[in-house]
Amino acid sequence: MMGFMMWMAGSTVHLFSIGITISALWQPISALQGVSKVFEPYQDGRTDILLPKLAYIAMNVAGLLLGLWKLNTLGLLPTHASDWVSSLPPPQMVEFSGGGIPL
Amino acid sequence: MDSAVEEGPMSSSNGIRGMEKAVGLGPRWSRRHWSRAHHHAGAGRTLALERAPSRWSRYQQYIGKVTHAVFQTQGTGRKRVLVATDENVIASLNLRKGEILWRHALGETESINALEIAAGKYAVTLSAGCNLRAWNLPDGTLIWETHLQTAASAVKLLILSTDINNDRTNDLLVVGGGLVQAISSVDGRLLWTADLADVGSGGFLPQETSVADKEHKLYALGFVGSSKLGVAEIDLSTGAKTQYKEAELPEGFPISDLLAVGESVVALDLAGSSIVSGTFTGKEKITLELTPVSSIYHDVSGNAQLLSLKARGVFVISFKDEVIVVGVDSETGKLDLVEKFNQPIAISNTLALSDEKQAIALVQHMDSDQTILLRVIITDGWKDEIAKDVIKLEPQRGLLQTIFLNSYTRTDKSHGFRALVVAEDDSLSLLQQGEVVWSREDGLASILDARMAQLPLERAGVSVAQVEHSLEEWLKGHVLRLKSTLMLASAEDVVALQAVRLKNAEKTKMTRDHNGFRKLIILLTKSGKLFALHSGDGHVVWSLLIPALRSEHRTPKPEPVKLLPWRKPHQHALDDSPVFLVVGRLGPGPNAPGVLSWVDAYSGRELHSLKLTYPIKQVLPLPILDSLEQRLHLFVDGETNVHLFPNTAESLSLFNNQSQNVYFYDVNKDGVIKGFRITDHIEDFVFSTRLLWSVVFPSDSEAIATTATRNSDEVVHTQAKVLGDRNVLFKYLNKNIVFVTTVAPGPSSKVGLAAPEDSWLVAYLIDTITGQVLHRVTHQDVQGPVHAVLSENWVIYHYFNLRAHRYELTVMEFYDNSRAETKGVLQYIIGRHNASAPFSSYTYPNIDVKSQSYFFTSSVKKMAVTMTARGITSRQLLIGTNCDQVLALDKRFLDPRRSINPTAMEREEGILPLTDGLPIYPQSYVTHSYRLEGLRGILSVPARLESPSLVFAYGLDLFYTRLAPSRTYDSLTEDFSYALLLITMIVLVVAIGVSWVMSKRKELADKWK
Repeated sequence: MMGFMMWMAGSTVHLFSIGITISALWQPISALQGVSKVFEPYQDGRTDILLPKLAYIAMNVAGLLLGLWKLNTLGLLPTHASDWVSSLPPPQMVEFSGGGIPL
Repeated sequence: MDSAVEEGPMSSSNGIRGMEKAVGLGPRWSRRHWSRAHHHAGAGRTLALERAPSRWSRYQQYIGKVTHAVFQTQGTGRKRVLVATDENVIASLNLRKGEILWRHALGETESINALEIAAGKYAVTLSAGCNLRAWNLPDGTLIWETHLQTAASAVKLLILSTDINNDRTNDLLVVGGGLVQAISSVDGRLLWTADLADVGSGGFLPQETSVADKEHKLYALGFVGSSKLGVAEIDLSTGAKTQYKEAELPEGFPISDLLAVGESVVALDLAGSSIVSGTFTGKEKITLELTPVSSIYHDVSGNAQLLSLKARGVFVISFKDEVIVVGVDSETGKLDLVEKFNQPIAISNTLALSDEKQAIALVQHMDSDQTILLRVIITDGWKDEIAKDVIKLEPQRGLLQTIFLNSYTRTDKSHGFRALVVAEDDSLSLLQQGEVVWSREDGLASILDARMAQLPLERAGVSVAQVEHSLEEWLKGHVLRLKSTLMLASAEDVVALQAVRLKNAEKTKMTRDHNGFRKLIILLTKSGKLFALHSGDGHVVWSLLIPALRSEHRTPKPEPVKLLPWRKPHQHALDDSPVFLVVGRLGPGPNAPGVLSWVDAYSGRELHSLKLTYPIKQVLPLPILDSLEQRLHLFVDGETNVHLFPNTAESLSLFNNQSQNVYFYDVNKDGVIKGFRITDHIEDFVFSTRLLWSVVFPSDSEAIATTATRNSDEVVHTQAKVLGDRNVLFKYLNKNIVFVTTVAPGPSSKVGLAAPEDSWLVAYLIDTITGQVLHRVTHQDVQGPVHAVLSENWVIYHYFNLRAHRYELTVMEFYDNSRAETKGVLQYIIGRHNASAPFSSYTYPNIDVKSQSYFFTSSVKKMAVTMTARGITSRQLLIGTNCDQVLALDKRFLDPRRSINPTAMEREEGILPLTDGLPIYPQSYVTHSYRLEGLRGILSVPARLESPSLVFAYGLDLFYTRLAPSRTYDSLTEDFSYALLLITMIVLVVAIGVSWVMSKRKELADKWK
């Protein structure tokens, strides 16, 4: 579902694609935060919940990665050199020179 | 490499789209005249442009230093005076107010030799020695124009008092270059020509003329070689040479100057010690008599000069401190002293009061420069003083130079006098009845250099009270503005609103504003006067005739050369004022010793001055400031030694730390560029230099056409240019580069003389530290003149393409490949990259050059580029066109990365599809309908806000405006209605309150149900 929405949102930055991407990132993160809560009802000591838990985490991490991938396609991740040098000030000059046509 | 013009016709759809965009972007401000003259006319115009609201463009008109003036006060119609100036302008001024009625600038090569009124209705000018033109007096339309053969530098124009061709109007004579030509004043037809070069034994060159009206004869006087004096007699009605006489000059008489006084000839020798005189009419032979000047007037002091008065039987010799009037006996040619005047400054023309009486005006300065004594004297007997006025001039006018006298008849039939005076600062004033009636600052027509300075900070003690708004006025203005926004304004309200806008005191305050829009424009004029204009309304805040640049008693007049910012206090300095340094020369020629003068920009006073013993060849403002925020300067003298200023121990120690990295270069117009470095400390503040490199252009085939360097004040925000595909290009931001273009075959050739295949242009980019040619490109079939501008990492130059018969603009952008070597993101994240390393010219340059050329329909006089505070805003190219207008062209039109079909990424970046020509939209003329006659310079300075750039252009006229190359993205418009915003907010709050109360009531009522 989320993947479909992401595909629909396209790869240009606008309100809709940003919203989708943020929700795509936020959903797995909040799910991961609430892992213990999700599995609380099944914690009765008899069933082994480690494996389902790991599977749950893995699926959410995959969702998170999907969100990050989407973020990257939008060009919002600082993965290029240009993201780090765009406001690099001009270099200092070691030498000074002046002159020109005599007055 | 040098891609000429790329194919790809401009598709119509693109053109229209581009046009729409430009209309949207284009600045649309109205403007008004500064001069009082146009106030009334201006009000109507601004009214018409009510919805085009910017009011920050300013325009002033000037004419230059007046050299000739004739009054037109007879007859009906407005009283006016016609003037010709050394800026080759002819203008008609209103005699009551001094405003310009009409004006024509004749162009640089057309120096005006004479100005007269002919036939009572035409102003006749003789310019460039050969062009005779008649202008209609009331409106200045050209009536006729005649091209004469003379083309000599010393040409005279005479208005005859006889009619040659029987059309009942008196005709004209032009004497010069060995020819005498008679011209009809009605239509400019050549009536006859008398060639005097072949009279006698040849070599006769007429210099002076004398007209004998009754005999209908003209006498032309001149020297023959260096030993004889010749007089030719010409019949005025036919031009026939009727007689020619010669006389031997006394042995060893070095000829200099010659005057015709009535029927006598007077010549003074070069030393000014003896005079030769004699009568030339009647007798067969001229007998010359030698009279030592000392025998006429015993106290000879200083070198003498002959002055013609056109008064009967007298002439004037002026000495250093005195002027003597010498009478010539018409029978014998004997000389005798008539009158002597002490220390007169200027003598006017002779004014005929009646057939018998002639008057002359003499000006003397009283104890101070500011008060003058004007005396009008009857020339018969020289004793009768008919007017004597003590007049107080405006300050900073200096000594008077020229005076033109005119009379009017008072109601009691007596004569009143008015005098037009030109002062040392080239200003023009009209004096009448002991007062200055009006005064024009026409020195502003000859600006040499312009700078801008900050105004003082606003605080207690700074006098701003007189221009401060009262609260009532402020409210009134806003109410009016609100009314006009809500379309409630009546016609009177609109007029009132215009008045409020025009008088907006906010603009003319003498303190700094937060956005840095208010500035002082400091101007150095040719006469050695410094002006400070307020950018708000263009009024003169102060002016200073620089004392160090005034001539003392016939020493050659010092020439101002350059204006430099000596001290720029930082933004928050309270008590420090900016100081400007005026560099001048104590005489003409490049080898005259230099003179320096420091002027305070707030008080307009000279702080101190210094006469140097050496000529100044170059000035290097160093990027080093001392503790008083004074910039360190180096002056290069004739022996290529450098002198350090200011002369303090602190500056010396600061400079010694840096001296091994200081270089300079010298561009010789003969085709050699030499680079030097500072070597040894010779004495106190003098350092020797050593020649490091030289670049020699082939002088037989190429000549240097233009050079361009980066403006040292230019601020660049970043060195990286991020492309649409997120790649980075690093700009090559070396400050020490010079762009040089050479043209073949030399700059002297005119358009059309050289075949296209023999002409080319070579563009060089040279590092001025090492002399290395970083880039070189040749354009074939191309001709100068070349104009270039170098900014950031790009250069744009303009030239003429002989094969395409069109002008072209070429852009070259330089990128530094060596900085782009580090590719990994991680290196940037942890800061291990070479992009922030200091730049040295001694590292290996690896430059990538991108270049593109475009056709451009306009020729260019001057090119500049907009400057902004932080260099983030995109730049506009400011092109001074040959029509004396300023055109703002977006730099994005000149982008070498333009292609016919830009990719989506490139489009996103803002790259335009390639076209072969550059569009000129009428809206992009920043000067609108104004012409800046004789455009000489364009100055752009940043405001404190990032988006605007302040532009000042000057020539004969001054123009000031504010540009926003990327629109005003960081401020609200001036017209923003704060009152409307406030009212909207109040209404909203009230509405919220009311609805809250209402909903409470409703809720209560619902509960009761």
